[in-house]
Amino acid sequence: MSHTPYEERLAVYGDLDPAGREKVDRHLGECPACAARLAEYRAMQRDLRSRPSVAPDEWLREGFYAAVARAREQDRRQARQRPLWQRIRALGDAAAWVGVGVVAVALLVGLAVAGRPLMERAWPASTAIPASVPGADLVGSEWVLTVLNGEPLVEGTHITLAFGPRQASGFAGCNRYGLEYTTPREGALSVGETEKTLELCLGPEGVMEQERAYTKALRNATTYRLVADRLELANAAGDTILSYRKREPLPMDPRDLVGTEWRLVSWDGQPPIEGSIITIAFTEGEISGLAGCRGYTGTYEAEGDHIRFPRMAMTEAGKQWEECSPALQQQEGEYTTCLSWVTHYRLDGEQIELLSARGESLLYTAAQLSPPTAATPAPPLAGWVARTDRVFGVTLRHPAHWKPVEGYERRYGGPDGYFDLGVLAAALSIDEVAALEASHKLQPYGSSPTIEALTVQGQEARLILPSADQPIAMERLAVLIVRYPQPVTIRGETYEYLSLYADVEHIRGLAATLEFLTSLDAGPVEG
Amino acid sequence: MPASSADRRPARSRVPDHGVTAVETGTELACDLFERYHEDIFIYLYGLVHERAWAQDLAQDTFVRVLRARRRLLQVDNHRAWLYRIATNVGLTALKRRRRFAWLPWRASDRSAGCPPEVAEQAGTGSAVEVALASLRPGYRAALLLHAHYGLSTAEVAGALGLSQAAARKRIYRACEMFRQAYSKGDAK
Repeated sequence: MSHTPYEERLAVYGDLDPAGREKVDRHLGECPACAARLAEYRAMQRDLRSRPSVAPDEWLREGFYAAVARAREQDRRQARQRPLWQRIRALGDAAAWVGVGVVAVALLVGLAVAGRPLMERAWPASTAIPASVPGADLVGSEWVLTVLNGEPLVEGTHITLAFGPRQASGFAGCNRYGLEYTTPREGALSVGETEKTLELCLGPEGVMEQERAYTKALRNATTYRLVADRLELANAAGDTILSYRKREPLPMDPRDLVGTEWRLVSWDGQPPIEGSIITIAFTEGEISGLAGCRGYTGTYEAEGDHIRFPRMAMTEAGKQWEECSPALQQQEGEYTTCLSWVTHYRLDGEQIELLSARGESLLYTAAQLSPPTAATPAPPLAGWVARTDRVFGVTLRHPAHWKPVEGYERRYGGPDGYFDLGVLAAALSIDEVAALEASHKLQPYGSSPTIEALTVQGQEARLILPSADQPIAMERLAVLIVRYPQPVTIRGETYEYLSLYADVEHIRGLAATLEFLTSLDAGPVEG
Repeated sequence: MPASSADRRPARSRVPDHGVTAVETGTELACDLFERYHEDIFIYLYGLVHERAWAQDLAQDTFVRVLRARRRLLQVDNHRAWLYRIATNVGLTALKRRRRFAWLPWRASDRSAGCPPEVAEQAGTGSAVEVALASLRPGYRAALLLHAHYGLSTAEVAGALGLSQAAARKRIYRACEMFRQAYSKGDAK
């Protein structure tokens, strides 16, 4: 006698339709073994459902959002060829910004910042609209968001809105946005589709969610109300969903800028990297200065307290790019990017503050320029200590202040760098292994890493160095893959290759200290 | 030559004008799916491959595929089942390839290849369940996890595994049986 048709149904009992279940239930009455089996299945399912939850590491999220950023960048590039995008670009005088984008892309590791099509416009105050026209009270006004859907903003974020005639634009916390609006009658507001730049911000936490909520709220706004220095936007139900405070323009005269020269002392309250010099000098319509590594030059446009730097290029004035440490290179990238976001300035004789749409502040004092200091030499190997890993059969040296990194078995690091070891089993040539590692679909080494062939301890090796677009989450990861003189056996498995992961600044120095233990050295694992 | 470029132009202008925003909506949906399901998908893949770092790679891979599908994401009607289908494909394909190319995980949490200590410690049933699960062939493991742990219907399991409904039901049943036997053996120990 076969119970199979019923047993199958027992396994999917919860899924059966009422008729099917009734049939099974009838059978259960006649078949105690089946009833027992069903009970057993249920207990199993309960145990399976209560499998303990194992939380993924944070890098899953970081990796995913890095992929999102790349996807958006790709979409943006494609979209730019479309008619709609041209229309959007027209909103913000994009053409002039493409040049900056190119510079910024080359400098900023990881995040996509190419051409910012939607610029917050310094709307000419002279735009004459008769006061009797509905919405005339909005034109030319600038606002800073204080309340979103009844909640204050995420700490450290900044959202703005500036009205021009029929068009408005601003900064939504991560991206610039632009929109077309109409005011069919006094107090009524109709907001068209919001067009955004397509950047991804990793922080502060919640900034992307907030941005989505903000643009959604904007679309839902149907009325506006001006009360003293506040602007309130309400939805169709009459609930106030957005509340802004007015940004009062400062009484600035751009002519005061001409001929001044400044040195950066504070960037969002932090000094620039010690020993690095960042400056800006204004002449008629042009800027020049040092960006911490190389020099830069560019143009500026100012009106009232609005300023922007539509074109920038790097110059030979400072050091050579290659002479600068990665930290300086990164700072330079961030600085020029920050300049490209600047919208306002505040000048008071002693100091000048440049304010960006992203809420950043660059504070400079009158410059006392000293010649740029020579590049600091590479860290001496003398202060390095040896570390032996008997399981992997290697010894190498690393900076003495690097300590074990929690959560990893073989990772050591400090504020300036790190390394990590791995082994690889593969019946593949070293070039195939290196190619697989370098072309990993998540692009841990960026879109076009370089693979260098070299010899380490007489063994063939490949060094994979990241390209400039490596995701920031990868912490400037580079990897050296070396073929073991003799494959190592670990927990019964044999591995042909050793991989040394390290930040790109230290990997060559670490690689130079690498030594394989002879098989006699390789003893049992201690402690 | 000018004639041919002129020929192409009208075709291009028929591209729907809302391209940018439609894609962006898909991207945002992919982000929502990630936020809602990435832990479940990770645990599911962990159940399939029993290796933390690997499961994490595969979860990453799953969501990268979701992202790649952003243009047609809005047309998918059952996102959850679809997501498990992708994760299942990713997981089973990876298991098949395993022997060709294998990194030894080096993170401390992977010290024991079978089952990380924290899993065994967290719940009494954890280790017995995981050990019994590990004894199933991957295709069966997937069917059992999807149905019993994540509550996918027979039809959804069929979709995820690329089987007919009848075959999916048979697969679930067999997986239940294999698991039952392995599990009771483990309990008896």
